[in-house]
Amino acid sequence: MSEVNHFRRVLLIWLVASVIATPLVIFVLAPIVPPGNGTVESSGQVTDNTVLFGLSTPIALAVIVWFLYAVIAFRERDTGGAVLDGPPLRGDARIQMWWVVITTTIVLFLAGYGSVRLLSDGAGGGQGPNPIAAPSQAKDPALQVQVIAQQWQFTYRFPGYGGVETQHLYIPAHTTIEFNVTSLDVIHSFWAFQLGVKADANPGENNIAYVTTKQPLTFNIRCAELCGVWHGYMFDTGHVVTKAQFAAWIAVQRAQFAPATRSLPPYSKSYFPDPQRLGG
Amino acid sequence: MSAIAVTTEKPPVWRRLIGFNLLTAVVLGVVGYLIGYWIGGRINTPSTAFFSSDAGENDISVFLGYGLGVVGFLIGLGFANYPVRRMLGYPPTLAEHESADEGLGRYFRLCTDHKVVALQYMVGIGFFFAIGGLNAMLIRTELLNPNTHVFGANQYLTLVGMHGSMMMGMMTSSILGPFANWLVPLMIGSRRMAFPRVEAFTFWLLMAAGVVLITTIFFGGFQTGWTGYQPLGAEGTAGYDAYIGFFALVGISMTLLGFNLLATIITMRAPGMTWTRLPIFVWGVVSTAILMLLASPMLAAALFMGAFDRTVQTGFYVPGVGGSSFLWQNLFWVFGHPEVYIVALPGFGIALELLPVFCRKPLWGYRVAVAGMLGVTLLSFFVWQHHLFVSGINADLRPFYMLSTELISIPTGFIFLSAMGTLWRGRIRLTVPMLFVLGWAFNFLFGGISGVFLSDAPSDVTTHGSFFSMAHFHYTIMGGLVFTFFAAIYYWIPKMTGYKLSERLGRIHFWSLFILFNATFGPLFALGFMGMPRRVVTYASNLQPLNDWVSVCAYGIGLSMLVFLWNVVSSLILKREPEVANAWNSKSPEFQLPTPVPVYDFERIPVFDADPYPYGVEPAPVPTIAPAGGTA
Amino acid sequence: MEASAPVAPHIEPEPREWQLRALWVGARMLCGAASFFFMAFLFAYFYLRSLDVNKSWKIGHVTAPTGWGVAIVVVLVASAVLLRLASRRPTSALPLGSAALGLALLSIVLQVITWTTLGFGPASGGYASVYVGWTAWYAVFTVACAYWIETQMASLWRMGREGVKRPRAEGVPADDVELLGAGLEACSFLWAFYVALGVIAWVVLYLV
Repeated sequence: MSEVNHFRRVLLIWLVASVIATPLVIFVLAPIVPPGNGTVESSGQVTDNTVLFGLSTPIALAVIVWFLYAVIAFRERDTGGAVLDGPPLRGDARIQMWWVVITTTIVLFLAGYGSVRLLSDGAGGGQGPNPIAAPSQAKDPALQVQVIAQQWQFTYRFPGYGGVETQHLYIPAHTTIEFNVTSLDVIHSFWAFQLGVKADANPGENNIAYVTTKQPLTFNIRCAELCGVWHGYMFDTGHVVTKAQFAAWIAVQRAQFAPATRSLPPYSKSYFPDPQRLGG
Repeated sequence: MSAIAVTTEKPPVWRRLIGFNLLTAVVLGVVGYLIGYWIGGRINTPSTAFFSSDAGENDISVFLGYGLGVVGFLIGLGFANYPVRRMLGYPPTLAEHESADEGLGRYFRLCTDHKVVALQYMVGIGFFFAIGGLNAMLIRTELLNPNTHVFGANQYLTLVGMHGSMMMGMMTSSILGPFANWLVPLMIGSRRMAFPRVEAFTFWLLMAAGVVLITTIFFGGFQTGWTGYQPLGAEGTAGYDAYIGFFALVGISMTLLGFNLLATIITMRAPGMTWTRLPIFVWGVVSTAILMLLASPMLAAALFMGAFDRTVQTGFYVPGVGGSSFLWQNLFWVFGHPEVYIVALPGFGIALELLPVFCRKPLWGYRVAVAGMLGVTLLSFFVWQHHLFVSGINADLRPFYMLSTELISIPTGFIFLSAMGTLWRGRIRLTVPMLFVLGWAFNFLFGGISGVFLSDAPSDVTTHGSFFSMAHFHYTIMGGLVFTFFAAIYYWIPKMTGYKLSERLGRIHFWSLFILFNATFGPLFALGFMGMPRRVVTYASNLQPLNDWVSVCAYGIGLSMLVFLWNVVSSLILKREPEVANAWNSKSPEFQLPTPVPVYDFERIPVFDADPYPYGVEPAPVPTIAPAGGTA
Repeated sequence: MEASAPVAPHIEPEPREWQLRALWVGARMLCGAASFFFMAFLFAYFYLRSLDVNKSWKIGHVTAPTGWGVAIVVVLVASAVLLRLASRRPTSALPLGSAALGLALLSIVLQVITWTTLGFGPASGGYASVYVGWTAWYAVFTVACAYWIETQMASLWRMGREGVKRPRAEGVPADDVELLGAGLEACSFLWAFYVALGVIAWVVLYLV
């Protein structure tokens, strides 16, 4: 079999496989991969993942098809006889150049695309105390919610509502939320799954993540950074509710926790519960 | 030399046990530990007021105990003898216990024969790998049911931490220790390493480190996992001191291993062995050794800062006194990212070294492959903040680290290019080593692609800290390095020991491992997307069927490893069928030597004058090293 | 093969320059490893200072002991210069090198005195932590360097007393004199580099 024949075969097999697999991956698999379309940011992640899935499929197929074809087509049939060598091919400058060009292009595209997506609205990730990517279409001014992580529970503080600290998280629909995530002791991570939000909670630091909610939904909150023995049990359920329901809920919380709020430290972006917290 | 019959009567067994050997080392290690612990108890009491420590564990005792215990261990092996002699002005010497007449006893002492050290590494790392693997089985047992708990929460986290630490600490040296030590002197024609005692030192230090890690269970374990995040580490039980001790010793061992290999390869290449003729395996060793030399010291520094926090109450990582949790994260990952390339690069070297032999063709794109390895080495220092995308780092930095991390996939791709080119139009033989190399290629492909997902910051928000990243690094490290580790074993162990390994059992091992590995770790990608965080002891109940499947397949991996173990025991210990000198028809220098390789490796220093992969060339060039051990 | 002791084949000795080159390369590589080790402390210094978490970069009255710092760095630099000179002048290598060794040990003594007379403790904030950690580990590796210097001086002394061994002993790769020269060069280079790292530490901890 001549050289050209083999290569064309591989190309053909790869093309057919990609044409079948890639649309399946993009239109059947990627849409069902979490975190779903509950918020603007989670939709953004789904889109981003779809692009990644769509690019990875033909690339993975190329390598797999090549390996499988080679192992089958060029297998030594006569393993019992004398050990014969193959042709002394050591390289090909043109092929190497094309490989470099193609891989670099793909990589630069991904880096650029990812940056654009990241800088458009922050993608729901924690951006530190000085964020550079807030959602451009903020629905109403952003509602500030402080997420306070400690071993082994999340609490939530609302500076715009008298600094009341609640045990569960309710946020209004169709609103841009600015999460200010901090910790009282060790590193935790606030992962609001269906919201598409993940921001580490560092002691003494503030970490800001944005989310723009859509319809009301229920979401899971989990700690995504090992924080001690009960890390696995540090989870909660949060709710996106209508604005009216939220207003009612927060009013109830303020009334209920009014004595506690008075004895809390004043609202601040970070707290230092024990001034001399020494290690060991 | 006249051949006079000399009969030496060997002294009785008990007499031979006295001296500088492993037994003495263990005894002196325990003595050293007790002395150190006692001194620590004396120090801490008067300084309690000064350092205002709380009444917790006495970490100074634990650290001093470990320190003096390791020193005692090393003294017992005889590592202090040469330094003391040098301090008295005696001239330098090289060889210790290299004579083959000493038989198996050499393996339990300080022996400077690089082949002995390599086999010591093989057995030692194998032992700790088995412990790490058992930890994994126990972890998966806990995760069978989200509500029923087999272990206490602290026990579980300690298991998780021990598994990760044991694997990362041991497997980093798994290729360079056993294989580079054995092969590099033979492949470059040097007969020895530049600093043979340092070579032996790195092995024994690694063994001491493994023991230190296991003792964590006597101090309450540690709750941080192998990443040792602070300030959780500072507030934890004294078991965290074992974690610090383990990685500090591993760091020193790795630094010196890389140092020794680099010094050897740079200065002791035989005539004609230019950089462009170096076997690709040696290039893999060079690129790994650079990272080992430079990255490990940073880990050691970060760990020492943590040790100070726990003993003299500094505040490196404690925010209340001016420290920062970010400091640990940055320092750890500045080491941690080169570390994972330390684990990946030797695998590249092995895969590309074996492909020419089993495709009967030269390595395709040799220079591209070398460029790929060196490119990975260089870039690996500039990507570490991709572990911190959502941690609250300066948001301006994230696009840069996204770019640098994406870029590193380009040199990694060169390795695949070289592999694919070597396969093309070869005469491929699917021997057991070759099967493991093909397994590496498949697994690392998915490991690499999942890495691209994680390097994309918006996608990383979905998957960071979840089982997706667990699947990613198990695919690259276990599917990558461990598979090439086995390829290397099946390929070189017959040469190193002189005995065949069963091919039938090898094939069973490969297929069972390959299938079960993918069955175990493939679903973890899905579990990550479905919201299961890492290191949890409970999870959403709808994820139980998938977790159970994963656990059962993980047990299967354990069984597959037993097949391998049985192969080793039955072939190398029980049956001992001699293997020919060059079972694979390899044209590599080490296979031109007789089996077993003589203590002095080869009589005359070789002169290399041909490409390292002279396949497919007519007429075949005469091998540089003749079978009798002389030069051709 | 006979039943008696096997005939030892003639084993070609390795090239002389291998071990000499290995010492040269080894010293440079150790410089690299040392740089990266202390780079971690350099990073910690600037990072914690810029973050100033809980306004605790300096808790209470924390000032660097500038006088002692100057003394230590002067002693270190003198030691490095002397040792480097020793490696270049074989005839006066022993007295020069021994003086260098003495100064190296003196620097440790001075550092210990500094620690005991600090106006602050390790728990006095980020600066104090970095100061204690950095100087402590610098002192530890100074001991290691001092060991190496001592072995070179001991070899010089013994060679002066007993004369040079010729022909060279079994299992030794090169002439005693050549090896010692290479060892001294490597040792003095590493020590000089290490002292340069110490000067950087001094600038950062005391001057900046």
